[in-house]
Amino acid sequence: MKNYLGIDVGSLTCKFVLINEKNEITFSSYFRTEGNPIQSVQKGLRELKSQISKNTEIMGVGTTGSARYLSGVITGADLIKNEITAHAKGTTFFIPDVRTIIEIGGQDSKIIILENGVAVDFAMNLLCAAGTGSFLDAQAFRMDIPIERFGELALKSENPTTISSRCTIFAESDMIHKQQVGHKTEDIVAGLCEGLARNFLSNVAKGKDIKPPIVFLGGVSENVGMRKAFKGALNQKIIVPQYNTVMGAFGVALLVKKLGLPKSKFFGFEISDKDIRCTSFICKGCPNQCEVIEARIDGKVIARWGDRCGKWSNLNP
Amino acid sequence: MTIGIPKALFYWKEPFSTGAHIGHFWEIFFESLGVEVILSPETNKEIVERGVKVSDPEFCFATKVFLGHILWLEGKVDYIFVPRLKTNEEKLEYCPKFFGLPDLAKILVKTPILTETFDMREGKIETSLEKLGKKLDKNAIKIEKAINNAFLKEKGSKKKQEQDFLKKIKSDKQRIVLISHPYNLYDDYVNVGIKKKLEKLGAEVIFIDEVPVKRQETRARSQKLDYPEFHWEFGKEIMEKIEEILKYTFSGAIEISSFLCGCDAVLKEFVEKAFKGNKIPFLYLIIDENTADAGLQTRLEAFMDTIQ
Repeated sequence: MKNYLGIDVGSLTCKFVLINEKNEITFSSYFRTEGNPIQSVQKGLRELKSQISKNTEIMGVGTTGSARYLSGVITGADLIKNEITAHAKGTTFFIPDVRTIIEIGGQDSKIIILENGVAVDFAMNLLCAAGTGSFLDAQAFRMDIPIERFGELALKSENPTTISSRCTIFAESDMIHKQQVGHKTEDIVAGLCEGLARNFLSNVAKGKDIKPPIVFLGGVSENVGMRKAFKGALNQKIIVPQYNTVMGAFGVALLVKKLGLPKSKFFGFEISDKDIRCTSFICKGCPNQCEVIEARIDGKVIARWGDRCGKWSNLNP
Repeated sequence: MTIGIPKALFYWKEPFSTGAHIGHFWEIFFESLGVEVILSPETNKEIVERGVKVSDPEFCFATKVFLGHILWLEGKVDYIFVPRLKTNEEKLEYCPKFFGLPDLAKILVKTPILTETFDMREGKIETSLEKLGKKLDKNAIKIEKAINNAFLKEKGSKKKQEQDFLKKIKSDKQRIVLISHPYNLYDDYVNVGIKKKLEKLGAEVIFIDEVPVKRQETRARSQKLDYPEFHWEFGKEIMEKIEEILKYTFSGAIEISSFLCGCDAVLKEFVEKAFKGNKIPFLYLIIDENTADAGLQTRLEAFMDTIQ
């Protein structure tokens, strides 16, 4: 059976999607990276291998996400694609007439504007990661609420309190203040969701023509409080499709399948058991002192990157 | 006698410089006066770090880089040259930070700062250059010759740039126009090598600065664009060049802005409107000393995908 694998390694989580010749998802997983993208990729592959039949043939591997280069290098990916294109591709498969995609992940948030199934405009958070998954995570932890329950709690609120939305530091001080003057937890949580939605719309989505159908993706789209907040702020229906958290991985799987390669460069599931390490050194070649990253499998250098001039990355075997 | 020139900010500005084919106006001017010139090197990590260290956090990134160049020159030369650019030939003002650069440099380093005010509301460019020459005890004939030499070379560079532009705009690749101030465009370190990155993705990169426009007081405005009479020279310059480039076909436009640049915050609205109003894909990027290579790469890749 011919299958295509999409891997999306982000700042907080790792996503795997396997599709067959009919573009059906035969496997998907979503788990925390826990600060170690290499081990996460190995873990994901191990889990995938344990759940697929022996005659599954991997015909192509695509990687995306902020760690797309690293995950591509260590798996022998056939395609390394940015997450904007990957998400647009995945989403249009399910909702061909989608006009707006809101995707909020661990540290990135983005908006993609589409026309006739093609991404025509996009924006990502520029200098500030306010309102992304990491911040919600930190606040849930601080308030001792499991992140999975954060959204439900927000829905209970009848009277959301206003939380500053410009900056996460100020938002946090604001939340502490509201707690100290006695606001109910659910009102604060709901207020935070509204603040984050407002922040997203006034920063990342500023000046964008937001038209329905609007699709909401990424880890934060799991949060029902955030769905409600966007629905309220945009006064539009918000669609959260199935596979909302793994859409980038699905998209890149579709993209690699489309290449129609006769054979994949995939290193195979064995790499789960290999010793993969990245080390770095400071190049002393010029005053730029670039930090060069070296990836090795079982001691053998497979790739180098991080240099401005290409002196090291061009040496790649 | 040696004079040091920082390769930052004013160094890249017209009418003294023509970007990629820099006429080396200042070098030629001083060398023709019989003075040895030392240029600071291309911006590198060390220069940026030194500049950031001494800068007020409110300075724009380009100014921080400039101070790094001044520090590099300190102690290596007899004078560091920092002109005070106030208004250009069209009597439009330079960015306010250009007014204060010599003062900032003076409090930063012990090496004496050689400066002269260029305010074309007060007098011609040649008058300021003559004053500058006299500060170095040179006679009038020698100064005049130096001025002519410098302008002659600059004119040649301008011509070369025009020819290059006409070649690039006909390229078969995806033509991408980069919009920013010359000191962001021509400094590869500052713009995180954006030109190379785009070229790797299959683009032909055209800097807005390279677009030739005829300077006329009474230019017929095209109906396609709507922008005010700018107070700043770069505002008018960039919008005029956008007006010109819109006469050609190209795939997309990317604007790069220095973090904390107040002038850009105003200008951006007009730049964005100009392209989007003409259905040209537009991307806005902000750069500073913390700009992550990976984040920029993601945006550029996605942008190139959207225009295909």
